Amino acid sequence: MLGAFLALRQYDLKALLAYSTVSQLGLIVGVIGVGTPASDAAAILYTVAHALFKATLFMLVGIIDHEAGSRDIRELSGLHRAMPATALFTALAAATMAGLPPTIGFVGKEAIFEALAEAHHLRLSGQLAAGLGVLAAVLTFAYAARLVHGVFTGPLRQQGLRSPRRSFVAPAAVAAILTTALGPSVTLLSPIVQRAANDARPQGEPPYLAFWHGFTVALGLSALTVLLGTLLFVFRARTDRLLRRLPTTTPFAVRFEAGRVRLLHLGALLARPARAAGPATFLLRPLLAVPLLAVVAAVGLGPLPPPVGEATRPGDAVLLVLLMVTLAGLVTVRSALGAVGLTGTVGLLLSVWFVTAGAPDVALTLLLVEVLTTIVVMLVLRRRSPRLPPRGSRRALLAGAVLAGATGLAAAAGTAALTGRRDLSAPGRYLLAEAGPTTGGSNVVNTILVEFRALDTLGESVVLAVVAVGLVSLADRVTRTGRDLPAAAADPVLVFAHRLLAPVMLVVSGFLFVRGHEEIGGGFIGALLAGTAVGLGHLAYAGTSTPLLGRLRTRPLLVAGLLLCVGVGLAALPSGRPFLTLGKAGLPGGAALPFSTSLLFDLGVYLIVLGLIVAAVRRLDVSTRPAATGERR
Amino acid sequence: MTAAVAVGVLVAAAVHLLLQRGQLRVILGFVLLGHAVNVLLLSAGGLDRRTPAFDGAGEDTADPLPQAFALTAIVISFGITLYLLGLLRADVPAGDGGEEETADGRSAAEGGEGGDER
Amino acid sequence: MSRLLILPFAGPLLTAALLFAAPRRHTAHRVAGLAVTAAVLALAVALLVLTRDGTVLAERIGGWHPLVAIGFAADAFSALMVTVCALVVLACLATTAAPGDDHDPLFVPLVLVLSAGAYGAFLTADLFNLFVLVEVMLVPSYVLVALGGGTRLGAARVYVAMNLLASTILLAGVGLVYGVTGSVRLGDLAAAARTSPTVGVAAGVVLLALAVKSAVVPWHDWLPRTYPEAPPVVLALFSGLLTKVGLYALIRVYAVVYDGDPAYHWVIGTAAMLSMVVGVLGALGEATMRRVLTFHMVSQIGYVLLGLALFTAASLAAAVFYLVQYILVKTALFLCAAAVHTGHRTDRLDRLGGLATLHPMLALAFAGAALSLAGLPPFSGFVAKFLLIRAVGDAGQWVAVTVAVGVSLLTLASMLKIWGAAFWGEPSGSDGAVPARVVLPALTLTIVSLLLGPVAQPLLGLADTAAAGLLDPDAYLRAVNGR
Repeated sequence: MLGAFLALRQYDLKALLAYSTVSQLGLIVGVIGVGTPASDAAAILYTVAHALFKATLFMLVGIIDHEAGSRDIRELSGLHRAMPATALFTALAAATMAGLPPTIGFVGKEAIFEALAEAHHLRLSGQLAAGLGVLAAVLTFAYAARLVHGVFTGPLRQQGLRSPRRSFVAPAAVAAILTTALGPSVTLLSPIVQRAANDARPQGEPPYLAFWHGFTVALGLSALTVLLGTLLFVFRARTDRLLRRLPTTTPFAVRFEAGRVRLLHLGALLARPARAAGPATFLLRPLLAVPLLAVVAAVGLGPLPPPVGEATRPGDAVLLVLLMVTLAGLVTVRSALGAVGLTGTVGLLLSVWFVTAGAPDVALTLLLVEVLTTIVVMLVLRRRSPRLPPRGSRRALLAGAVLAGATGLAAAAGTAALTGRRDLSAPGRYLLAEAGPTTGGSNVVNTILVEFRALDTLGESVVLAVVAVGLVSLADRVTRTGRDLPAAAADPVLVFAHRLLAPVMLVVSGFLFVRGHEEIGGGFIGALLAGTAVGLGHLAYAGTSTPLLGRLRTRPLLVAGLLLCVGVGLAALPSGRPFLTLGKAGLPGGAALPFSTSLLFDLGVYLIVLGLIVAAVRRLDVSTRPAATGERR
Repeated sequence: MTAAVAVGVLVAAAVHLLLQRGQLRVILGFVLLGHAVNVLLLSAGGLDRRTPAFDGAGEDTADPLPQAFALTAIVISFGITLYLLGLLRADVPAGDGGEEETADGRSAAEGGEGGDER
Repeated sequence: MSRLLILPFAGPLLTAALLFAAPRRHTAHRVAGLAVTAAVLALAVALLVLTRDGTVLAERIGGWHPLVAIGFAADAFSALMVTVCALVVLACLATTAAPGDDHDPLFVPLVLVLSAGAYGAFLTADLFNLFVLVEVMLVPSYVLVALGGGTRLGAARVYVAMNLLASTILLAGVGLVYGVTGSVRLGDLAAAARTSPTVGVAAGVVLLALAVKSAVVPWHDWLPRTYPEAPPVVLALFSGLLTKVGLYALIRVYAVVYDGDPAYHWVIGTAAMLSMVVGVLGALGEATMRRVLTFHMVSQIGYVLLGLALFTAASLAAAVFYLVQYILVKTALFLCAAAVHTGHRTDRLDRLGGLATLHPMLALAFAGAALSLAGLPPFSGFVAKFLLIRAVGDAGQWVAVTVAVGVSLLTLASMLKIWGAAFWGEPSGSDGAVPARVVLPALTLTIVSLLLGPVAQPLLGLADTAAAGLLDPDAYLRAVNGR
């Protein structure tokens, strides 16, 4: 329908034909949509008809364009005088398009009307469909008439036009004659169409097509079409004006382009938050989700099981108060060193609390980690501003505080609601009972680390090793940019402390490592202590050659540690045991060793941790000169 | 109850630091967040049992499994903290002194706009 | 065979350790990296063959009692993921793109460690171990994203911060799950969230963390901020592996712990549709190849989640199929972008043009993959989208069908935008050379993904098996629990 309207408005012949194709394809699809055997046959027949007359018309318009130099209806007139053959065939093809008898267009249109009238998906849908079909056909009739009338009638205005060569017109002529001839002899086509309709819809019997069906509804509709179409054509001046007055639809392409540009803008808008610089913008939404989840949970959760046992001890409150005071200081402090110191204090308080909570290994590890972190931060902060950057605006600060409070509340509620409400877990009970007998170690936590869940430990060792090589890589990148900072002088007090403490720390480190299986200690703790000695030495000698531990190199430590960890794990495979089967029987052939292979595994961990600390201490020190780092990768 | 309150205040302080300017604050925020999770892990084992888990323990012995989890978590977050410090250090521009402001990445943002390397 | 389940994790790790020891031997790095990855690929294919009938292989690491041992398990889904990821790693290692990236002595070993973590994460059946292995995968990515320094450090900082937060939330979630149930083994958590709402909340924290890691809207914006800054080949690797591990874990946890509880379908469905729409609109608004492609990742993640949200056999199979073909196609596209970057030192659309005449093979690889991504027949993307949309239609979710169809149209539009600006028209700017060895891996991936269109049957069968395993995790649980 839209196509037909637009076609009627066109002056350009090719555009007219193009829009008319849109309209007619719409008609065909509409007929197929009726979904009866008759409609299938009608659609096929009309497709054939359409192919014939539309191709003819396009060819003829091409000829006109070629000869007269224009396709504009307003410029062309009286061409039948100059090229009578062309005019005749154009008229024939246009008559087919308009659906006039005796052309095949007439038969096709009849079949379509009949099929459309049969549509009965809804009440009145048949009438509605047929009505629309007729309307489209009326419009088609009108623009077909317009085409013929506009181009060929009237005085011949253009001079020097001759009839085109015969061979030029011949193909169009054949098709045009066919369109007319096939109308009365449609019975020839009928079997083919029936076959095709059958293929498309095996069930159902397509009707026999004929030129003359007698006085049917469809014939009436055809007559109506011709009548209305003629009227529309006769009053073409008025219809033209009416059509002009319709809102000028911007050509679709322009509108599409505008939509596309708008879409691009919307996309750019959506992409913009992804350009923010600092991490805070990105952390916001995951953090917001935490209190949201807590609220949903609070609404949705029913009554909780009661807490088992008394989880609070008298000393807890003291630590809690100290913790709160420290944290309050931390969030308000402006000095960078102060902030680092207060964070260290938090770690210290927590390790004390972990001791009272029955987790001495965790406490000792945390303590050593805090000390080392503090040392490294000090190294990084040398030559940096001693002050933290000013806070943001008051509003941003307030919003941050609100979110912080909400998240904290959610975390506290989650901890209170979801922990401490069941008895000792099944794996916990198993480990307490069986860890000693099966592994020979009495420190259950350590046996978990190096035996039961050695894969986790292997994973975290790999993490540390990768961090170590990453630090080396980062530091190289900075030093490669060619800055050369003066080295600080050795500090006599620290040198003295180092001379005194380092050997002791190393001995204790070895001791802690070896006894880890039975008492507090193990690879991590031992290596962290040795690492502290390294850090102290580095501070004391300001990055110049440090005695004793100065020869340690990151890469060999890491490689040896990794190979040891993975190798010990893989050693079990040849003898048909699972990966990381550790213990006395872990070696192929059950070779007798004076110690368990889990000790070897732990040694690998020790080496990796030490390697990381050596890398961190040396590479993160801003004042270290490239030459003083000694090793190259 | 202690554990819940401790987790709450640690998380609140951590989030407060994370959302402020300056890389160092962000790093310290993550350190606190790590602490909070460790407390949560120990609490998940049940803090009513508080005797260290050595062989031959009794009724009051703590669940050793979450302690092992916490140890692993401490070490991993230690490693990542060191790497964050490495990124902080790599940020020192050719000049010296107080560049913490630029550390927040104004220049990085502009580099990000272009999206291609020069 | 199940004894060898650890090898995709241990093998690359051991190789990486050896390569760290010999930092200067570039050839050895390349050969060893390719060899060990090819071996993993072969093993993964063997696993696929063994698990294609629904068999589940399982192993207790260290051989400890099932209560305390860390379990590894391979069903069709995990085997499929390991296979595809090994293929991606192989292609990325084979692409010796932008000089300076792969010439870094850390490149190959770090890629190996990263891939080891990813394979491990696909195979583990233990939540805490999942956390550790995800870290094993992420920490090398922290280093890789900063290789080259400069403006990358700013992006690296955002990237590390975002993933660190997600990891912390994940760990807290795992802690809470242990707090409620006393176990972190998937074998003990079967349908636990369906029977106990408290487990649902605890595991919800886990799912939140995984959603952040997978860049599901509204937690997506870190992805387009950070990924395009990474070195080009590294970006291709990330796109194939990192967020996909999050997605895999999301699907696995939801299937096992929640048993696909329908109460949450609308949540996942909404997030899925938001991801689809926001991702594709963002892609339309971007101006460099890699940024456009990165935003598309968000959109594609939405498609996979849509399949998960319905939780029917058809939709899960479609999601698995979609995930596999999209990893291949996306990596191919990113490798094309990397190749363009190698030749022209930029991938800004306004500075490129006429690449189709300059590099016809590259244009072919890009066009094939792009059309597949947009879901045009007969490419694999069409099969994936068709399966998904049919499954969604069968479930009567017409809104979702409309969104899915509309988004694929917009996907096509954004691919045309790249094509029109970069490949069409007159060559502009430098006419840099793109060596064949840079294009070949991308072309190979494109061909593999294209073949999955007309020859979709084998993968369809595997996807059906994987979906059946997710729908009814009984075999998986039995294997993990050692019974």
